[in-house]
Amino acid sequence: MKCPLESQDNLELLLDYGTARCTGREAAAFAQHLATCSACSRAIAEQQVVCGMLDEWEAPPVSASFTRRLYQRIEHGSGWRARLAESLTGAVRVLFVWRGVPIAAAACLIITAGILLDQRMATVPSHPPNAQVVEAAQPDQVVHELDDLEMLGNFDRSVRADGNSKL
Amino acid sequence: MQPQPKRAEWVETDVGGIAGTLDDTELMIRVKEGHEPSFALLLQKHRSPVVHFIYRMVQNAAVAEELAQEVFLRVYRARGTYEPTAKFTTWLFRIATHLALNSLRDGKYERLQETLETTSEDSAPRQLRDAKPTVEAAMVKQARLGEVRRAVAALPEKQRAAVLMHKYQEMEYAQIAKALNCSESAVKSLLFRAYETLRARLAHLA
Ligand SMILES: [Zn+2]
Repeated sequence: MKCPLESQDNLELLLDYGTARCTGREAAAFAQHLATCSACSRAIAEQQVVCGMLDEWEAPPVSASFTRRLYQRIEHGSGWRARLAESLTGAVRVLFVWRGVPIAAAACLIITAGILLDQRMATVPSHPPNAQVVEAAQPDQVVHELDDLEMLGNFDRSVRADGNSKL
Repeated sequence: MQPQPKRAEWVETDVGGIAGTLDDTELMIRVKEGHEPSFALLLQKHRSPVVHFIYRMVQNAAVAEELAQEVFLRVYRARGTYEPTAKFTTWLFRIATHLALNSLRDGKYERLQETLETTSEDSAPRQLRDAKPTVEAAMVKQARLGEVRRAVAALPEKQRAAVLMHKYQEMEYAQIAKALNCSESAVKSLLFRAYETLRARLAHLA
């Protein structure tokens, strides 16, 4: 076996040796290499120390109110604004995935929609006391949606490309 | 016909006993079809891993919960367009990484950032769990943890995310690659460099 440190091949052996990830023939071959390579032996010993230290770092428990707060946010966003946003994001996602429309044009379309909604809401007279308060879709919120959509669109494309390359 | 329970009642309730029979992707497909109890099950299963991953990325518990809420909100809002092109956890951690990196870059939560020198919020419960550690031992442990946290925080963002997914989420290299939008070999190099840095920074604590 080639030395992973020298060849930069099979680097995962240096990361995973001694864990459940590294088993079978690969692990056995690397064990033989370790008997003759002091550099790899030292790297493995240090790696195990670092992993032990990382194990000591516990994250705090999640707040008991986490789920309730999340559902409140979902309920809060389940009005017409959220439905409109979902429709728009669905439409734009198709554009991103098909790549038939330039991203900039799609971005302009959505930002314009957000600004128009914003302006429309700004012209609505003050609500009577019992009227339901309706939130406007803010342009920066729409930009964030686009950011997310681009990320998810890229994700789908990269996963598909990866799948195709393996066929 | 029985009335559907309110959302709050769905949480922690395995409606129809589906938790053990469906995998995450199948549950998400059900969410896409409008079956909200499946969302509750996904939330119940992945809430802690997502919060903990983001916590270790941003090192602030309040910010981590806020960002994790955003992750699940995005999952819920994107349910209609979900396609099972990859493992659900890969998709979930792609969103979590994206939000964590964005928050670190835009500095939106800068004012909330804890200093790494302050006692962490997780130190109190840990001390209670320990068998009456001496004050000195507790201080040594805190100092070690502080060093570990600083060492992780000093890693470049992508290396940090890769280490956290590899070490704590035990994700496969292919999954980490998809979550970080890079190749599997790039992930292995990223991880090797990251652990090399950690080994150098933390060697004196061994
Ligand atoms: Zn070697």
